[in-house]
Amino acid sequence: MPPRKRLSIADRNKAAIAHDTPEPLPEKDEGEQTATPPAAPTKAQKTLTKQKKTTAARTSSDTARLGVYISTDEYEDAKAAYVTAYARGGQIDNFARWIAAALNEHAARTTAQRAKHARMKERSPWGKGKAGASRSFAIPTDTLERMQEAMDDDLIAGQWPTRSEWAGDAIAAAVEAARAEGPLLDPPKRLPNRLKRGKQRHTLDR
Amino acid sequence: MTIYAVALSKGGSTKTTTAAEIAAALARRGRRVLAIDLDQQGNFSTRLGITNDTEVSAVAADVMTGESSAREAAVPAPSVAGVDVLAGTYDLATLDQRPEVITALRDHLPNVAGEWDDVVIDTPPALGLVTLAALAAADVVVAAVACETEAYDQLDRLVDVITQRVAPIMKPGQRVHWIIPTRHDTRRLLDREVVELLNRDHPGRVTTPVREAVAARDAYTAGQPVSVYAPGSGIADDYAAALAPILDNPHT
Repeated sequence: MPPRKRLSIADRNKAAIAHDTPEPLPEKDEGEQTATPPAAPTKAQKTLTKQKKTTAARTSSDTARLGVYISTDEYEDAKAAYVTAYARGGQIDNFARWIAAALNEHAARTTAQRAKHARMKERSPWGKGKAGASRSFAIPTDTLERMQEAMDDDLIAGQWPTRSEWAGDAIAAAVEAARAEGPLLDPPKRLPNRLKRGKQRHTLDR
Repeated sequence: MTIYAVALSKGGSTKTTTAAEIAAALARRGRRVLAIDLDQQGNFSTRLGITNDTEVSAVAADVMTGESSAREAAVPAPSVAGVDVLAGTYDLATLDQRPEVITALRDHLPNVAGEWDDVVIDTPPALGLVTLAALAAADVVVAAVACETEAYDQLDRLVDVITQRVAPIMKPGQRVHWIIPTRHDTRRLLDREVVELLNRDHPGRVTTPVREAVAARDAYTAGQPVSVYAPGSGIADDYAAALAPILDNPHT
């Protein structure tokens, strides 16, 4: 068999892109640069990407996604605090906005106050092997900016929570505040997009 | 010959950094090492000094499809003496549509046992056929788990995939042999808790953690494993400590 022609790695990659429909690249390694540029998108992929970007611009020009890892119990408590606040006459009828309000409230506290609200290990999603999940919320970008400024202040003060931990503390503090006003309602298994007031104070629009 | 596969479906868990350290550590022990880069991004190849200008007769994808032997495709790693590389290229992108690759390494690597003493396989951040091929071939599966919830969650998925899809037929008894907590920052409560949970869930198989360090990124830019780029650094020492039980006792 004659010896194979030697090609450079760059030439092999170019040939692979030219001859095959590009596969979506795996998740980019954080902190590791890619050795070669991403595969060129096909015409169909370019069209789809443009449509997605346009849709995103129309619906979320001033919000960004915040991921929070939160235990199942804490998530249920947050839902309960949210529906209870609404039933008590509050104006926030959307869960993401309730989360945002909790973040704003926490950002407005001093570093020392936030340290007092930091969840104990037993109450964190990792305490005693509690089940948890990552939840994603659309949060106004100005809230996220306030959150980041507060986190920077905490960093200077020697506190090192992750974004998820910080947000979890904010949510827990909001739940505590709601509990201080009285017992919390049982939330529905699945929250509606918006709460609506019915004849009964705690009627929820499903 | 011992075949090591570094795996986890979460990107950014330092699989490639860890694979490069394993290859370098084995080479320092005088072993002849074959490094197989199964990630189309080619980062493992880059960390061993392979560049876009490196000329090859064949690449890792060719070996997986039977178009070339490892002997023909291997090129010396410029950064680590004693290590040869099967380069990772975009050709790997199409292999998830070729079921025959799943046993390619398992069946081919024994044929080249005389050429190399050990094999180190870096896998892509996915659990497709290419990763399964590595898991089917490996004698030692190492999970590099970054100290974050996302990576911790994916470890369970890796364990399940091995148990349900690899161990029954392709590689009886296969499992995750070692877990290396990576990107560890002692100041973060979450990082400490991840290590505690790993030790709780996988007793006896969790190494000491490896710190987060800029040197790891700089080493990539330099095209070297971090222990070659910064031999006296804290992260290099962490890797030496973490890999010692793995390389001394590969099969726990």
